[in-house]
Amino acid sequence: MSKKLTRREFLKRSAILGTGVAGAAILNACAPAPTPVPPPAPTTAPAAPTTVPAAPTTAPAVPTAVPPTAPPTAVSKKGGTLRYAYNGDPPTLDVQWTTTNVTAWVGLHMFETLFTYDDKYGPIPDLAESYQVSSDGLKYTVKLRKGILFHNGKEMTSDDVDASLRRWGKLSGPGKTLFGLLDSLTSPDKYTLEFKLKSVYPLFETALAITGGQDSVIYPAEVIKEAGDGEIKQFIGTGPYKFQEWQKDRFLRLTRFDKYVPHGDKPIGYGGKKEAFLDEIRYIAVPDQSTRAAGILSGDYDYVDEAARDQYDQLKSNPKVKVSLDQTWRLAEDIFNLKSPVMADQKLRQAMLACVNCEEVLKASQGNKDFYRLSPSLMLEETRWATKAGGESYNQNNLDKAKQLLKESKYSGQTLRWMTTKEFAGFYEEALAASQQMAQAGIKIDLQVMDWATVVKRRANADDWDIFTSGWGIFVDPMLSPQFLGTYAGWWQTERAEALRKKLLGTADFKDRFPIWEDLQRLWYEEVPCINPGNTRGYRVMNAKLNDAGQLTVMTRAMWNAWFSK
Amino acid sequence: MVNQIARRLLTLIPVLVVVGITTFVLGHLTPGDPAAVMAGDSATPEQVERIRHALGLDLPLPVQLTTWAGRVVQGNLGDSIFMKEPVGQAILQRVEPTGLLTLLSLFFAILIGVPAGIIAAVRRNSWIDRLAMGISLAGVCIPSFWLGILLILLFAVFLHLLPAAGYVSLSEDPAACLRYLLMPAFSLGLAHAAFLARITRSSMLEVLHEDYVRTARSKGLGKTAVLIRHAFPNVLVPVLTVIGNSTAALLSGAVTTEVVFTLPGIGRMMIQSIARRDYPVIQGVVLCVAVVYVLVNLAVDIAYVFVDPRIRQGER
Amino acid sequence: MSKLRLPSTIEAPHISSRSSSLHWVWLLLHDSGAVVGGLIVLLVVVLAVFGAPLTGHDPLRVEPFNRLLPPSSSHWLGTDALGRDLLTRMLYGARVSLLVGLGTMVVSTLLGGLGGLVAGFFQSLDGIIMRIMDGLMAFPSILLAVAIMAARGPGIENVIIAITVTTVPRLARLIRGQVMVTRELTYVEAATAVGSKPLRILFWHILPNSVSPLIVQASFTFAVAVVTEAALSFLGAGVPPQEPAWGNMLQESMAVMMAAPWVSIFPGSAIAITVLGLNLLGDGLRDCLDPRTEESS
Repeated sequence: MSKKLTRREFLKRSAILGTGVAGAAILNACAPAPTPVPPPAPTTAPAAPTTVPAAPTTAPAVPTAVPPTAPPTAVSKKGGTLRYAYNGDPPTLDVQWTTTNVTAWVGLHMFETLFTYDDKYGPIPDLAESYQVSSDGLKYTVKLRKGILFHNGKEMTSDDVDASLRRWGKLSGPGKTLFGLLDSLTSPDKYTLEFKLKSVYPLFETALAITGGQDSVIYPAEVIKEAGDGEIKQFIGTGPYKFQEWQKDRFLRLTRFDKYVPHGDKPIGYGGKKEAFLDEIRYIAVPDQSTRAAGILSGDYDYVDEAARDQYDQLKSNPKVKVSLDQTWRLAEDIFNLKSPVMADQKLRQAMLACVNCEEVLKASQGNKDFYRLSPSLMLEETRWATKAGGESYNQNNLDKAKQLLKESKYSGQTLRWMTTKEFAGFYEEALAASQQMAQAGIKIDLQVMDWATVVKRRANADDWDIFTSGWGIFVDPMLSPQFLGTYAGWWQTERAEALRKKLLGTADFKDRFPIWEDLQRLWYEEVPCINPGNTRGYRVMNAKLNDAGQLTVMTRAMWNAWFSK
Repeated sequence: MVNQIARRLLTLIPVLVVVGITTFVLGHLTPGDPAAVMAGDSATPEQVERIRHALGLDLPLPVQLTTWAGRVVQGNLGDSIFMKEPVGQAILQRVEPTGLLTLLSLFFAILIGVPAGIIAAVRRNSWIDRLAMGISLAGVCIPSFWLGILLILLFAVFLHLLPAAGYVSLSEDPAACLRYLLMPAFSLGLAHAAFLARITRSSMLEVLHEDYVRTARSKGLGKTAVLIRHAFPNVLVPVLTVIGNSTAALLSGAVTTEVVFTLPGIGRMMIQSIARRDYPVIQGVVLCVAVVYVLVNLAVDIAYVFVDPRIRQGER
Repeated sequence: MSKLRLPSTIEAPHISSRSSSLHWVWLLLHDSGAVVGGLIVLLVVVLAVFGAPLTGHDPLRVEPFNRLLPPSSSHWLGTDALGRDLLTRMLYGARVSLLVGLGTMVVSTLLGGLGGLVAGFFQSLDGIIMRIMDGLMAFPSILLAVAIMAARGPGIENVIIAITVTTVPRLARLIRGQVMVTRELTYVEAATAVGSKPLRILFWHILPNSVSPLIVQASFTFAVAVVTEAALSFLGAGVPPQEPAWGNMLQESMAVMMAAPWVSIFPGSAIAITVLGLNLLGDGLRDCLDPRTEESS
């Protein structure tokens, strides 16, 4: 099934696909200087929240990354066409229209957002130049950069931003949330926007930053008008690359936008100065992972973002290519349908949790040890939300306990329907291994392997399934994850969960929110709405002559600032 | 004769109707829909509904069917949901790779198979015969997609001689185009070459023992002349049959080959469209394949009439 | 018959006068190719039926820590990407291939044979039946297989249905041609003249003469089914992936081709060898039953 859509990447849906957490080392421990949450206190501190000192402090402890200090002559780095082999063409290039990751990965070369992230997940302005927050946290005044040009030569003004944000607010989940809290949005002048909120919203900048799926990118106002209720018909943005040509199933070409106006004088995480050294980025759809690997070995491609795990060792030792493990991990998960009568039984779910031998499951899913790690934390360890709370219940691998819990439960031998797919690497193997472990305790499981379109369809209907396999990319905030929000399929909407969520959403300060999150994670391990075997990751292979490509730790698909050595 | 052809062409209509309706029904009744795929995984049900409405998929099925049928009759196959272009255009763009692949495979098949069969027949039971037939047998038995994978391993990965995947248009660069099609055409054509070889051989054997051949030989005609003037034309009939069948088989065998070699052809588009539930494309392609199939059969049958006068009598 | 008629794409084969006796069996046993083929098929059947449980390994249980082991004394053919013994899975996979082949062969022979008989004999029904057959042939089997699988879930029955749809038309044409020729024979005309009922003629005279092409085609249909099942599983439209089946195994081997080529070589060879046996058998049958019949498949 060739699944042309890069669904495989939906994982990286990371509201933060964009955010890199450079040397995971930094970690939360040392509270990062820039504030991800606007402090309600300071009034007119114009530049304060925006300046990002990140660059000098840390040479990211990323093994392969070179801090993007621009070498002297920009001229010598220019040139070349990057042939990027990916899993499949995006369903559309209208970034606001779909949550699919590929659309964002390709689209973020052409379109930009008001905010983005530095390499520690702190939001920084991108198309915005600066912003101020009122002391009560209810008014945001955003100043746009001046002189930013769209690909058609027109200058970006607040009209374009206003039209784009309003459309995004209608089309996307986080957008709806934001606009739901909005009292008014006005443009006092052509470079300023004023947002008046009804209540404090700690996720303001985050929502307007890049997330890796359905981002609030800025289009020209006339393009939005032309689109009406449907998708945009022209791809015009402000990014360093512009749309050139798309021959479906053959290639998608982006070429350098010569009139790109840089945001600053050096790269900062995902923002700052984005330079287009490459003349062209050419995306080629190659659905099969071993074909991609074969292609890069034969010199047909320059960058492959997902190659077969088992070819890693071979590729590592080949001098023509460079490999690099993704710095970004993903959370593997098997989600229970709490609306299903049999799964509503908490003791049964706890029994299933007890059966799982996480290492075996992860090994089945990924093979090589480099590609998985055990981790009880529901928020990836690279974020500052990582915690081991409730972790005693992680990786129990205890069949006796499981059988005991099973006896105490109301389970009477029903067959549970487990949906999984082969379209995303590792899902099927993970489900197979886990379901066999549970079968040993006496739990009957019918593993149904189907294509992703069918999974998505059936998942929406609570009568159709009991468990399904999924995975998540990195989130900067637990309340950005639809899953922890409870609205995602699975419907973890118990009273205690809802109460904790409300508290978490209503509190502004990270140091107050963190303990609430820990409680939520503990509750998660107690109520077991899902099972998380652990974290997985992939790796990238690239032409040995390619530099600085995908070095942004989580935004491994950002090709700006990448260049070929001669 | 012309009447017959006309009548055969008319039968296209009921075939198309049945095929069209069946595909429509099958596609729409299959769970999963393009709106959900388009919306992406983290989309909420409302977002999916919005897209479904924008695509017109929330209308009742009979309405969708009649709308589609109405357009088809006017020659409009609709627009692809994911590729954002008319289905007809998408098909036409992909005809080149698939068509070239099929032709090249057929070319390999004929080029290798027919002479092999003739030689094997002429030197019956010699080692050449056994060797040729042995290889033919192997060719028929090896699954073409497996052969394709093995070829990629050998020629692309280890030897770096040929590309592992991709395609360049004939008009852009004929030499490169050939390079990309070489392995796929070979893996696809080999099985048919083997088949042709066997058929050619057995037909030749039959013919070589016919009276009229012996008569020709006894008249003093050289072996080769006999072969060319008398034997070979009679072999054409069964060979044509196989070519006709092969074309159809090649068109569908092209699907796995296109998947293995990542060729942007119709077969791969079908697989992708099925996975994404791109209904207009699925329906359009099936209709076109049906038309092609019937036409190819018709062409072969007409060729028969010209090649073998005995067929005109309706019996051998 | 001097009407100008466009033939259908398959020629009317000759009728062998020996088909009514069992002389062909004797001939078959003396055809070395057929014997080899038959032995191969027999071997596969025996291994599939009896050999599978004897290996001592579980074909289903994943053992990730044993993944991709090369052939050794404990795993004669090595293990696959999930640590399952390859030999065991191949033997159980043989069962799937044989079942699919057998199922397809039986159903399509019955349906195709019946369709062809009726179409060839009753001219009024000829047109309709052949047009339906044309429609069926035009249907890409993959689309059908995927649609059926998505609607009903993966499974052997659905694979058989999908493949049968594409093999029935060819059989039908073959038999139809045969029937049409037999119909013109003198003794049939005689029987009609004497007043025998059509059905009687159909079953007593025509059918026995049409059986031999069916038998010949049977083994080729079997072979086609085995390969098609592999192709469908390879594309993800066959039997469920956790079930051992050669097509599934080939598909899963692609991701580990370079690291562990044996995972691909063994199932691929199994398919090739089985199909080889079936083809040899089919050739032999054809040589004995109907030496002047054109191959058609």
